[in-house]
Amino acid sequence: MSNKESEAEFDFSGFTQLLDDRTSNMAMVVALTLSLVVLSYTTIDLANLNEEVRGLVEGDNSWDVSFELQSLTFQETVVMVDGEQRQVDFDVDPSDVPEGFRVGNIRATVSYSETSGLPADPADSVAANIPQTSMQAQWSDDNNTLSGSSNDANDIELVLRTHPGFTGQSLNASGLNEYQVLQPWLVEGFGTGTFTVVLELNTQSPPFLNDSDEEIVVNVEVVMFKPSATPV
Amino acid sequence: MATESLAPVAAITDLILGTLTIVLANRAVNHDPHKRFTALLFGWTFIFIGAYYVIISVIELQYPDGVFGWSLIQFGTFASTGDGTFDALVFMLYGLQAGINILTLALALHLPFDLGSGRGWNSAIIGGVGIYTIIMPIVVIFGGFSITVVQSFMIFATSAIWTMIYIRGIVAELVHGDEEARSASKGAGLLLIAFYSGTMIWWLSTIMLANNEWFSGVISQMSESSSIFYLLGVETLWLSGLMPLAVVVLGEGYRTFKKGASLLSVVIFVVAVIGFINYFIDIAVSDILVSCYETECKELPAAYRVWETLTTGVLSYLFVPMLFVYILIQYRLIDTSSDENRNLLRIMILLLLLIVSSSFIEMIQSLIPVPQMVTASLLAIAVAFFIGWEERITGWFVEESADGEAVSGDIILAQSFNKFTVLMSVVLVYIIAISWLFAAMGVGA
Repeated sequence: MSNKESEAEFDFSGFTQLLDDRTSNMAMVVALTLSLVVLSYTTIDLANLNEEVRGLVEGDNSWDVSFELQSLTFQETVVMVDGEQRQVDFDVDPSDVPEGFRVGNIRATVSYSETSGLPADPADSVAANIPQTSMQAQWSDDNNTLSGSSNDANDIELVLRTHPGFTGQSLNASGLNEYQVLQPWLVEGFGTGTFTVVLELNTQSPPFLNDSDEEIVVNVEVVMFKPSATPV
Repeated sequence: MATESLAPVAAITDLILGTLTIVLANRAVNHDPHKRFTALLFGWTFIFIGAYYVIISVIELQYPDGVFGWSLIQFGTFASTGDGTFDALVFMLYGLQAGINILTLALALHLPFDLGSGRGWNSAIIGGVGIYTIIMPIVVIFGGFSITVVQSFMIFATSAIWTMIYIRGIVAELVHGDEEARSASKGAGLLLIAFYSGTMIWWLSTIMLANNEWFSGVISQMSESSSIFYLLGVETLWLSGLMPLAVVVLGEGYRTFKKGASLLSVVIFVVAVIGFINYFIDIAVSDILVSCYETECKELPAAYRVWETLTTGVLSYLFVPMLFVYILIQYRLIDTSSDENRNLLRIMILLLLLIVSSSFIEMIQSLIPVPQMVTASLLAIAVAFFIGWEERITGWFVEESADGEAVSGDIILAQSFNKFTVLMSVVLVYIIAISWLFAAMGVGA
């Protein structure tokens, strides 16, 4: 093309020159046709993917999360004297937790009875509490019962929730897929370590007789769960 | 392993090159007016690309934890964040992207062939660029961002024009024996690589649908379902890299077989090989690409980032400016005959080579723990090499070839140059102003 001063307002002879070779035009038509084929199948594939992904994102993503439960139990019997305070430690080792399970909560039952054999001897007074340790747990959870006492030989029930939100009951959740729904229930580290129960005994004796000690049994149940999700 | 971003380097390089090109184009009053106008288009493309990278650099610096990707602008997947400054920066990117797209189309209509002429033609080009850059940013910002993919069809049209020129040139040379036609095919091929290498390096992933798998992860993050037209626009963008790559690889493959390798053939084969490897990398990280909806969003491995920096980063940020300068000089778009211009040209070439080599060395240092003393020595060697061989390097860039003769066109009125410079300056200010204004008004939120 030469340098020129065109008289016309618009002169598209450059385009004409570009398209005046049959071989080139054929090659370009082939390139465009193949491009059209690629464009068609890639767009169809992307449209299918779009439908699938949006179905997941926008669909009814309700899931029923249920838990398979297992327990690990410990028992410790201690004999305490009047006025004594004693700390009883239980070690929950990560290796004690089966594969796929997490620790949901830890229940402690403190039991005792009047064993002095003295006539008209009233039941002793026992107080129990779970002090905070380095164990990862929901120490501030409203559903915890971290302290209790008894003066009529009834069991003292204590409970510490370790995994966030765990009640042991099935629940509804929403999420794009099973993985996402189960994600909150698969966090590791909660409920392992040292679990401590502190006991305090105050004996009650009948007049003129001396009841100076008592046997106390602490049962600890580590409740473990394995979550599973099914779409509702 | 953290990699240094090359965006600031590209920003500085492109802005300096753009300014020098515009100065050279405006002062060369005796130079071919068609070439001057084409150089001016090149210069403003540099400025827009440079400004684009400046904003990318600011975002990377100010919002290091922000999720910011290429698809945000190119495919309009942005959702307003409520942070006025961040939103304004993204709006500016949309405006600059629109400017780059229309300037590229204008370039395709002028280089290496002048496809249109006539008294009204250049006025129409200048007017078209002005109207597009004024209207398109507003349409994108108010149209919900994703409408920006409509530009993919224009990007494809630009790619198709250069592809057709490449085919015309290579057929004329290899089939009809017209040796001079090589200038056209070489020019079109280099321009295609300069503007489309970013999408070309995903050619196999496009064909094998791995790009779709990646994009499905992007779709899952979008607030609304995408229309078929939007998806067509997305695919058209990939196609605008795939089609020219396939054509140029075949053309250069045949030409290399017949006549031996050339700069264009080497570069296009490298791009094709990177695209080949990229597909297998896509397969390796496919679980992560779809993790956002199949599991939960996961980060790509550090090795992927390193590979991305060494391929896409080096290609787009460091190599493309060099390619632009090579085209500018080889096709005599800027006048290199006068001593004054020759000195500016030397500055341009040396500056480009030094910036690129020093940043490349810095980037290597960020990837591999090479002691600073070693990289400083390497840089000193590079500087000594460039100074000692300055004459030869400049000579290689400006060596006499028939390429300069291939570019010609119609006479353009002298006042058009000033008008175009003023127009583009106003457009740049306009894009910045409306972006701040609309972001401050909460548009798109």
